[in-house]
Order: sequence, then structure tokens, then C-alpha cells
Amino acid sequence: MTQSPAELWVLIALLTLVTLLARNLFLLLPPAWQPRGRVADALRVAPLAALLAITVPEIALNLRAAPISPSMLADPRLVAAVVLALVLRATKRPLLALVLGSAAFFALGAWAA
Amino acid sequence: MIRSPAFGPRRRDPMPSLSPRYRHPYHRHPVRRAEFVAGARAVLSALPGIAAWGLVTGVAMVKVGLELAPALGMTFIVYSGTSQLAVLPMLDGSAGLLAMTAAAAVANLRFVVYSAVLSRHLRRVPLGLRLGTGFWTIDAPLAAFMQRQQAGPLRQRVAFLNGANAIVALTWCTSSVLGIALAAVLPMGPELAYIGLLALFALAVPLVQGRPGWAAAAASAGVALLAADWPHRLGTFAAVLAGVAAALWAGRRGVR
Repeated sequence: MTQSPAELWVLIALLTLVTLLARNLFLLLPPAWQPRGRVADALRVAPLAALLAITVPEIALNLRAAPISPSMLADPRLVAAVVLALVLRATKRPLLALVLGSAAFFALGAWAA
Repeated sequence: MIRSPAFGPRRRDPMPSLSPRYRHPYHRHPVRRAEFVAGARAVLSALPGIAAWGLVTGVAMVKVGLELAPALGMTFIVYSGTSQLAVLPMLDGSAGLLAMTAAAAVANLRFVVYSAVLSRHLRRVPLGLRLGTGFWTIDAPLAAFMQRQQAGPLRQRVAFLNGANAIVALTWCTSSVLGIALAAVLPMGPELAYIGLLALFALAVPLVQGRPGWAAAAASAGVALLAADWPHRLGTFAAVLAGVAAALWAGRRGVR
């Protein structure tokens, strides 16, 4: 790290400004600029799309570069996510799903290692 | 500030506007307080994941050499794991302040989409409360809010959202501080980060509903995989746009 304390605090101020602007941009725009109708309806999937955009590449981390093979089906990350999704859809209990998904992750990780 | 006449359509309020109960301060109003608590409860299942990310971020800040004060400043003032994780690798002197700010801005683009989602709900809220609510609304509270948004008058929905925001902020800051304090002793492998990621994934799973939901999920996951190596998390933003576009294409009404 090469920044001085003063530089770091300027950076913190700038980053705060970025957070504030990004999260409030449309809250500050006039009504005429707001999304309407079908676009406003479609925007309701934005949190879903963002959560998958963040998680899916990490879930498939070991599979992205490798050529397709049957051994991929035993990948701890992938199996954990599949277990979690199935348990969650079946039981609607997020904590149980997370525990079982994590258990699958560690079990397969230990088994593979 | 809540008693501003601009705040929500009064006729839909369950309490007569002249009732003494109506004059309770924000957090003392019984219905709003119930909604605040309901919001906090709605994100309970997200808290383990947020705690894991907070820990990871706290440790990461110490590992790149941030002192205590700037690390706490990042946690409490910036309040954006996305910005923090975008900037930390650039602190080695390879980039100037403006380059780091630009990288954080690009990484934060998904929040611009979130603000477009929120704006129709917060339009009548007084400016200060609107900006405050916008500032600390992140993924998990917004997801809970979208599942719940139809219920109740505006000020109660805002209370619900801020209840979710409050407990998420508390969890994030506490776990980040723990990460900063314990960075030297925590055995921080990629495993913990992955459990946090699984918890985020658990937030997404119940949201996949209806044609627009499935279309958005397929498009977002596909684009995220294809664009995973794009710089500055641009792939995430592209995947969000693809998901919204797919929902637009798949149905006239959004996912419920």
C-alpha cells in the first residue's frame, strides 16, 4: 500500500459519493425520467438477476475453464448449490437448505481431497 | 419528518389523521414498528451470508495493509462491499484515486438499476428519508421488499424496507469489524467466502417464479457465465440488464 492517510480519506469520501449516487440516481431524477409500464414491471426481476449474476460464475468456478466431463457432476461447489436449491424449493426453509448445501460442500470437498 | 403531507396518500392510512396515535414518532408508531420488525425478520435467512461476506471483506482490508481508522471508515461510511472489494486490489499503487473511483463506479452499476426499482415506491417520501433509504438499500433488503411490496400503505412499506436494511447493516458492520479485529488469527480460506455466496444464492432461489422470473434467471445466469472474466464486474451489470430484458420479453407483468 502506497497511499498516505490523507489520500485514503479522500478515497473514502469519493467511494461514499459513488455509493450514494449509484444507489440514489433514479431517486433524484425527475418523474418524467422514471421507468414506466412494462419496463417498470420487468425491473422487478433486477434483484434476482443481480443475485444470480454474482453467484452463478462462482458456483461454476471450477467448470468454466475445464472441458466438459462426467467428473464435473461431483464438483463440490456445483453439488452444494444444487442441493441448496432443491431443498429450498421443496421445504421453503432457507436455513435448512443452507446447512445441507454447506454440508454437501464440505463432505465432497473432503472426499475429493 | 414522517408527518410531511407529501409522504404517501393519506386516505389509505388505516389511522384517522387526527388520531393522537398518528402523532407517534416514526419508530414508536405501532403499525410501522410492526412492519419494521417484519422487515428485519424477512431478511433473517440472508444474515449468515452477509456476515460471511462482512468477515471476508474485513479480513481483506487488513491484508492489503489498511490501518484501523480507514478500514472502519470503509465499513461504516462507504458501506459497500462491492466498492471496497473493487478498490482493495488497486491500493498497491498501481492506480490513482480517480481510477479507483471509476472502477468502483462501474462495479456499482447494478445499484443504479436498484434505484430505478425503488424510485416508484419512494417517490412521495421526503428527500432526506428517500436518500437515506436509497443509500443503505442493498441486495437482500431489496429482494425481501420486492416479494412483499404490495402490502400496506407507503409509510409502512418504507418501514418494512428499513427494518430489513437496519438488521442487514448491523450484521454487515459487526462482521466487518470482527474481520478487521481478528484478521491475524482467522483461518480465512475460500470456504467461508463460498458459504456466504451460497447464502446469497439462497436469496435468489425463491425469486425464480413465473415466466418472467425463469426467463430472467436463465438470461442472467447465461450472460454472467459468458462475461465472468470481464473487468470491473461489468459482467454482473451486463447479466442484470440481460435478466431485465428477458423479463420484459417474457411477460407483460413482472415476477410476483
